[in-house]
Amino acid sequence: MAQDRDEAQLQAGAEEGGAAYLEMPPERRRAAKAHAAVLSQTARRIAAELPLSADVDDFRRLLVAEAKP
Amino acid sequence: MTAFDRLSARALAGAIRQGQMSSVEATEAAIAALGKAHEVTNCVLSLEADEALLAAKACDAAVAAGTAVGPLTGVPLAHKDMFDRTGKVASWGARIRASNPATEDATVIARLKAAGALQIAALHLTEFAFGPTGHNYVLGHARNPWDPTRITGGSSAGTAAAVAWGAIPAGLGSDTGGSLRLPAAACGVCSIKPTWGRVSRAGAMPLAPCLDTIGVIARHIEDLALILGLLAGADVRDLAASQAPVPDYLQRLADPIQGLRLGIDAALIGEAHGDVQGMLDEVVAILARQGLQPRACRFPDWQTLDHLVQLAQMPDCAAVHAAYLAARPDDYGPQVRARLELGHFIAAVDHLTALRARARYLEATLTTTFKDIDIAILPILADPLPSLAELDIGGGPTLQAAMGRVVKYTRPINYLGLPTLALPVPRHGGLPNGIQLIGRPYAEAQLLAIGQAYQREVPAELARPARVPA
Repeated sequence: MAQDRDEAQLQAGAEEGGAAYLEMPPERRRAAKAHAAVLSQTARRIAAELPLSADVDDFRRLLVAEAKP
Repeated sequence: MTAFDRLSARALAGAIRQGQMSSVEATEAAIAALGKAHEVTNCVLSLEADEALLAAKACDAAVAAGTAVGPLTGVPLAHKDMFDRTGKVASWGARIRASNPATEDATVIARLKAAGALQIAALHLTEFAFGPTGHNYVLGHARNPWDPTRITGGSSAGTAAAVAWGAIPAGLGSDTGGSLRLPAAACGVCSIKPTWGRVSRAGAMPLAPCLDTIGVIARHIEDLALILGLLAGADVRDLAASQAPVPDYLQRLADPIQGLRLGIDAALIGEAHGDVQGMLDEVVAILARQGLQPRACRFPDWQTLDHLVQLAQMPDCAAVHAAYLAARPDDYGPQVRARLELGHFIAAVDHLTALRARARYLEATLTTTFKDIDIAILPILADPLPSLAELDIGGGPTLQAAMGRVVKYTRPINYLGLPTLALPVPRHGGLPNGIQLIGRPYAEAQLLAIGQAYQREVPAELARPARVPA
């Protein structure tokens, strides 16, 4: 159980950055962090182009509008 | 009488209705064939022979009494083991779900039952449907029916393998990043991934709900049309299920396709292996002979789409599994565990950015990519069919890159929510592969009409493992 994991392991996870509550070897933690960083770069670029009004439900609204008999 | 393993579900239903074959005979044949298929492909997770035969007897009695009215009465099917069935535990391809039988059928299961279909087995899937190759590190890998050293594709591996074998005419699968298309291509059969929301997901295992789509794998296009028509439609149990009217997909198979414009993004297709490009060219030539008009098109930046779909998917998956992964990490296989972990490293802000941008990218695709075309064509697998060994990478350091290559042409389409039809390429004695036709939202009928025309030149009988007795 995560709660049972020793404090040192959690601390090590925290120092590696993110998801300290997950039991992960350092190399996998680094790989996940690096991959997420690449994706985050794209997210930041896209966020800068999005209007403030962009809404997560816009996608479903557009699909509904596209539904034709 | 045509051999059982060559009949479509629709034809088989007709044969049962007309007394040319009983449901018990069909079910016995399917059970026997599935057993053989399993020996080669590991496609079955649980065979339900006794229960299926009892149901088949009841169907035969109903046919004899003239009370059987369902379009699939007495037809033996089998599905990916991820759908609730009353009183049963769906494995989800994992070892975590050992208890809690379902109290209600998944909507898609209930609709197939209402149509008279039988379920003879629950079929293999990648652990939690989270993997595109058919590797399953807790229940054993699926093996390709054409060459057991090769992948089946995933995650709907068992359905595709069993359908390709001829053990069942059709079965259900799901697609979050390519899981209906990749196994269809790898096993040389057809599949339909409908528009996101076209089919209810109530009672189906959630992987990434913002992307999850239930669909059908079959040898015959007419079965995709028949079964999609049974599954599609509004459902109070899934508020994302579309209320748009459901066309008569079977009737629409006869829609004229001459003059439809087929979009080809040459630059994007050029990123596939040369052999795959050659296969795609051959399919374009076949479709052109059927009257489609090839046209150039350009999708939005593909790498951006691929990043956005990961930003949408990975936290969604991680959230579904958060409690289990923290409490029982060792119950997960190494690959799924590593992929689930990734979702915990993606910021909520980035996840929401991907979801907020989704309509914008769909709109851009419709107004630009589809401006002068009706449908688009892309590969499914970027490479010739890989071996099990070369993709047996567990949760190792090459995981993201290797998985990214396998789903290169499929995953971004899930972000756009568009319907796709997977068609097998002519094999010429080689290993199977496939292409996908991509339509505008709710263009399933159009895709299926094109598929029907394609199958006139590339019939399902040409796409069968050589080891299956004729």
